[in-house]
Amino acid sequence: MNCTNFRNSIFSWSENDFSAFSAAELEAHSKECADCSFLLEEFRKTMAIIEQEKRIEPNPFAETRLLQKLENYKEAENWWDFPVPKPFLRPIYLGLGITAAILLGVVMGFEEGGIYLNLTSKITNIESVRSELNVPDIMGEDIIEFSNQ
Amino acid sequence: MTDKELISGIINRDNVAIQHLVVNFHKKVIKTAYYFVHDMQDAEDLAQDVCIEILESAKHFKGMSSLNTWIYRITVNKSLNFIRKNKRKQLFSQIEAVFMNRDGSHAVERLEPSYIDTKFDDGERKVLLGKSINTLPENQRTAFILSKYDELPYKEIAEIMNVSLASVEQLLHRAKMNLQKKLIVHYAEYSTKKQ
Repeated sequence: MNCTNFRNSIFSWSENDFSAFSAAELEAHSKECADCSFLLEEFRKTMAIIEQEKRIEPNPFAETRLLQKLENYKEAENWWDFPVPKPFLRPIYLGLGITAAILLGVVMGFEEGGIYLNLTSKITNIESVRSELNVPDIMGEDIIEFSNQ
Repeated sequence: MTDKELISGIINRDNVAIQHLVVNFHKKVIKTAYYFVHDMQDAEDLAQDVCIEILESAKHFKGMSSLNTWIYRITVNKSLNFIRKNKRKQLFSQIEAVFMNRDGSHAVERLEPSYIDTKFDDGERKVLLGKSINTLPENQRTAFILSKYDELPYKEIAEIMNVSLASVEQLLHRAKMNLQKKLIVHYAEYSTKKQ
């Protein structure tokens, strides 16, 4: 047995699997080679860390924290109670939404137009009042005078 | 409470069912996540993510596998995603370290050193083991952790990983061989640093 064979069998050996080499062969080499013997010892100690890690217990408050987190999640879910439409209904909902937006735009457009018409009617009223009171249109006269010159 | 009752309770957001889920599964989930990430705080955060995922996906659970297997699968996936994200972060910090002119160099690997003068303590062994397991390919790492740490039978590991029984055996064999090699290299690296 050489060092390479020994190092390739360390894991199997630590699990009591001697299918590749016999225990006697491995032991004989570990007595001859200090480095391999050290590696075997370290490997066993490192594998024992797995056993230590298995014994680790979570924080006793982890359960309470987890329950609180799920409670918060549930509350956040309840905040949005509007039913989500099924996938095949989504295009219909989308179409309805777009139609509603267009209609709203048209109505608002008409209202804006109404305001404009009101303003123009107010302007014609001012014109008629001015002509009744015989108020001169100074700007208009200036322009006429300027054009006559 | 049977798996079916528990799942329908979770779907209906029944407090008793949710409590049952947390009481019965939280330790298992936290411990499995811990075996992957080696940090208890991260493992607890992952357990919260796992429980929320269970609440969100309960309606998609078809009962093809046991609830236990399904929860394990979610835990493994969440833990692997967490490690992937962390690796990306580490990569960015390493790049940053290079640009900031910090010492980002690694010890030169010495494959045939003399180890005998080096004494490791359990803390160092834990670091070496964690490092070696984390560098295994994902499927080998998953099979190894579920077998060695969680002590699950091969059949259940196969169900969690969605592979055949023979594949699990093969993955475990490769994982052990790789781990053996990696540990020897790490012992060498570490003893070089210490000397």
